Amino acid sequence: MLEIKGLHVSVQGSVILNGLDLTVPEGEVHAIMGPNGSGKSTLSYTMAGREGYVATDGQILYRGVNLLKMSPEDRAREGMFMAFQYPVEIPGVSVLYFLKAALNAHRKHRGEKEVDAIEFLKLARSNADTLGMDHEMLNRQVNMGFSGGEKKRCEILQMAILQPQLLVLDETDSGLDIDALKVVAKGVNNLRSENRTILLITHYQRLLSHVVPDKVHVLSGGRIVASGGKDLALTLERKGYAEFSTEAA
Amino acid sequence: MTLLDDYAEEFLSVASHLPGYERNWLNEHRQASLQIFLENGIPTPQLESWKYTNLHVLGQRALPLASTECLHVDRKSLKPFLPEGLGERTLVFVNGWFRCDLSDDMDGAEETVTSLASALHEGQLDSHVLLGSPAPEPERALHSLNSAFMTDGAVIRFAKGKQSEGPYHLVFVTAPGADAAATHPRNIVIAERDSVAEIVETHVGLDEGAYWSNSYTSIFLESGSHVRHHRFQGDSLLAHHIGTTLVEIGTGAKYEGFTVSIGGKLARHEISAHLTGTDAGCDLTGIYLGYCSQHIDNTVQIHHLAPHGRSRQVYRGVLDGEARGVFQGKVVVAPDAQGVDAHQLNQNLILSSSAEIDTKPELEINANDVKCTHGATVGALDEEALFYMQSRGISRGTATDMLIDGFINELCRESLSPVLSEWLGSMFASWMMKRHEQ
Repeated sequence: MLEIKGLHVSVQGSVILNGLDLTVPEGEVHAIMGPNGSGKSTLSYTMAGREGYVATDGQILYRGVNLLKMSPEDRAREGMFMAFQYPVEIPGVSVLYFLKAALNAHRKHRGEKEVDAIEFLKLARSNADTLGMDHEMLNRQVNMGFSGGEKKRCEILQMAILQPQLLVLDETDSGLDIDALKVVAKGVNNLRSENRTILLITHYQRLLSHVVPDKVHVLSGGRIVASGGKDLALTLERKGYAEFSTEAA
Repeated sequence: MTLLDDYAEEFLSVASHLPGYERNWLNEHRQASLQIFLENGIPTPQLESWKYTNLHVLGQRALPLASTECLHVDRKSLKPFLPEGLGERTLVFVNGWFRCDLSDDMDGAEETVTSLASALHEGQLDSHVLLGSPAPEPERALHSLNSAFMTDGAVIRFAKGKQSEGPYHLVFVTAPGADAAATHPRNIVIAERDSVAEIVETHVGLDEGAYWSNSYTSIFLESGSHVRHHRFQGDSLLAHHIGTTLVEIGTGAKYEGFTVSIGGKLARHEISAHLTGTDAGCDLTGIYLGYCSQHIDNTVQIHHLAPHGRSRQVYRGVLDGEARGVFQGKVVVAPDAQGVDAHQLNQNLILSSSAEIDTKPELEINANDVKCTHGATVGALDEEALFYMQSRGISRGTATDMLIDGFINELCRESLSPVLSEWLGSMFASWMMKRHEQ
């Protein structure tokens, strides 16, 4: 279970999150929707532990442990994964090498034996096949020269290999054509399970037609201002965020 | 007595032991070279090309030739410097002299391979043509010192139209106990018309000695030949290393140089390339890694003397601790060298606030139809990339190493065979370990 309690976050001195409360039970998919500037990205970066996002108050408890007290790498090793809105290019480092280093860091953390290069190659290839990715992509430098769709596929590949328990998708649907959107949705749906918690952070409802959430929350002015079932997303799509923005103000 | 008197005296005491002493022309060549050195002395920062590299330590006292007595070097101690799978064409030089017992047997090689000492002794090099005339410029005073004191090295002639099978590996080792002593190795490589040649040149020390290695390699590319030259410098962190590569590239010939500098308290590698024929190519790649208070200088001079030449320089450096890097890249295009295409790029990763780089591109273009570009970047590790990797569970330390590795290994993968690439990879990995220990 993920529990965010009274979270206040400042970025460069401005208060962005202002007492955010949220509970996502194990096995559920929740969507957080909100207008631009409502604090969506701040929430995901704070969860991942990015420098410069200062939690001045509150907690982010995952399975009872406060993530805010952990380094970004330890959060990941404890099962958290954030899919980036803009995946970062890593020059000179191949997808294969990058993923193997990540997987082995996880395994070492769990006290498991590291996978060797051959074993890992098999694992990576079979996951690439499932996602309809060319094996050649595994040898390319991480995200270098990738199209928007390829970058998102690469994020999904990482998820499939690292098998995170807490998944945060930060506007993963932005800039995707319909085919890429379906690949992303399929990748996320494949990971839906009883012991996994998934948080979809999005501006638009279109991803939610493919990954149907158990609950939808509206983020505005740095807090959750409304929560409801999956239909809330459709209402937002129709009416926009205006009524929630005024409420927040 | 002054430093220069000491060098004059040292020369008198060793001259009769230097190879080719019995040949008058060579003695004259050595003496003329010594004279030029004595007139100029050790280069100082007042000279433009030595502006960023101060040799005052070398100017304090004359360093005698390294001894050849009681050297405990065996093939096993050289193992880290002999990449597996490179083939059996290794020539080992210890303290500046060829060691037959540590080298592979060269009988039966297609190429003419000999040590400089025996070539001079047996009169195979019967004039100074291949040694070059002593250069009068003060900037080149250390070449003159090498010409005066040169002991040994490799002389390799790649036969016309032949493709060499695998690289020759020239390994220059300074043995333990060579503190405050100098070596002056000299290599001569001739690639005859349309030949294809490959050489690996390695300079290392077997202990952390405060020696000085002053090496000089001349490479002559006749028309249509292709030479790949990989140079690895991993000398002691207390040593001075001054290395010069002089290249002459004929019509339609191509020189590919790959230079790696990770050793030396103070190290400088200077490449001076002359593209003398039309359609000549010169492709230089450099990697330098420095930590502690290392000073690593890469100086390049490319002289386009004929039309339609192509040159490319890509140098990447990583500097940590209080290390200082220097990159000086000069491209000179002669008045009638039209249609020249010259590119230069120097990129630096600075890992600490006390590390620094002086990077100086210099273009001197005297023709009107040319394409010349240059660029330099200096930056820290990309925080976004580090965070991205951390968010996948990779520790910040490992992520840092992976980014550094990516930055330098990209060049290796592009330019080297898997054997060399892997060998250098292991050298870089041990550099990375030492960096962490600091």
